[in-house]
Amino acid sequence: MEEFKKTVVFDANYLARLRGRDPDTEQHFVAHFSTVIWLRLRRRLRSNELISDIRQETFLRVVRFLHSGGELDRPESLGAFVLSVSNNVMLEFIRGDARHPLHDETEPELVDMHLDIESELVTAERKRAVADVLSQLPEKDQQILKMIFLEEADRSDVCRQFHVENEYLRVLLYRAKQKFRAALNGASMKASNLFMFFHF
Amino acid sequence: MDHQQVESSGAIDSYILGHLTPQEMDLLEIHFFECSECSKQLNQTAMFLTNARVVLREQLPEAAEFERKKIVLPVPAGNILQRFLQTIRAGAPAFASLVFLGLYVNEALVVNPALQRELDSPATYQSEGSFPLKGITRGEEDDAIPFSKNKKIITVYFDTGWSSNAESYVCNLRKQTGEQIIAIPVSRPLPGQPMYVGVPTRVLESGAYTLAVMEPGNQNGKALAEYLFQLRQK
Repeated sequence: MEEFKKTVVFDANYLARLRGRDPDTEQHFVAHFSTVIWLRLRRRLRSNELISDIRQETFLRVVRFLHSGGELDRPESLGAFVLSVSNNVMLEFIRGDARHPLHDETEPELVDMHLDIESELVTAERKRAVADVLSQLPEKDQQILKMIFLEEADRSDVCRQFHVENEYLRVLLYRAKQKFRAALNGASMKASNLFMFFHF
Repeated sequence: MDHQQVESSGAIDSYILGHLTPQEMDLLEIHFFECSECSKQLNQTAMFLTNARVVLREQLPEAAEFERKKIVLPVPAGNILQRFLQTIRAGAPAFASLVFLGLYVNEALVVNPALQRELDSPATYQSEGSFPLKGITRGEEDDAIPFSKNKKIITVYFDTGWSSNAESYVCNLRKQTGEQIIAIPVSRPLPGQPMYVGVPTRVLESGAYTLAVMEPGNQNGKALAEYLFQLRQK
């Protein structure tokens, strides 16, 4: 996969607003990085609690850096800066854990990662919206999505089984997501927790 | 490649579904950090897929019912033995599938009451820790007791200053609003020992609670002792 170009949104004004504790900018900042940090850490760490702590610490350090007058040579590199802070925090936390390797035998089982990301993203309203979208689809499309989402089947297998092209799956997913977004937007754009996902 | 190319190639979906190589995922993640549009798309996709998984998973029992109805096959013509063998041959794969599906659904969705009781027992789970409670003095509550849902039980303990000699007691846990949360049976502690009460964290959330110790046959009467405390979920 070739190197991706960036769509730059971070500039000196953005950093100035972040330094000035502008609530909208702070909300955008958290929304922008929250999921991607989570997903990135989830590939590397198994402990749910550790992932939350690292993400929180990352936000704290970046904001503290800016509030204390710290400057970035290139404001548009804020994303790269957050990524490097996140990496550093992760390594620190892992080292910290490694210094105390003795585990209590009474430690509970590791938490199911799926459940935790669900607790962040799943709400009754969103479930209703998804259920509406799915119910409007033809039976065949519902089966396809079920195989992809629930059984996590390989796309090429799904294509073979349902005699469809890969492009069909892409369009199906795209349309389902669009309908989901439209349903949610129509239902309650006022909900504050949606702001972070859809406002920007 | 810009974010539109990322989106049109389905890379975000593939990323969420785990269909990319680690190297491709690394590259995309770096891009997500820097590209606001793709980060937004990632959020939306994660939200849609996660909710879709939950919705589809909740529909599983209906699917099981559908499968069950589907395997009722018409009996073919012929002599009885032939029909019987044909029925077995035709229905065996579907029956095996149904058995496995049933086992899967049972494992995933059915709560075994006996097992649940055992799991809820303080003896089964390790505790968050033990925290002392004092007699009720409104307005002078101690600092909130921290607890985590990762631990199944939080244990509180207190001295028994009352004069009852009952063999066991019932500890009613109520929210400050008076809403009853759970009733926990507790044995009489040894002389000179405090009473320990294990509370399942699954019924708890941050807030103020009252633990009222009652005699078993007198659960609606006056409490032997009441303890007001605050909980804070970590």
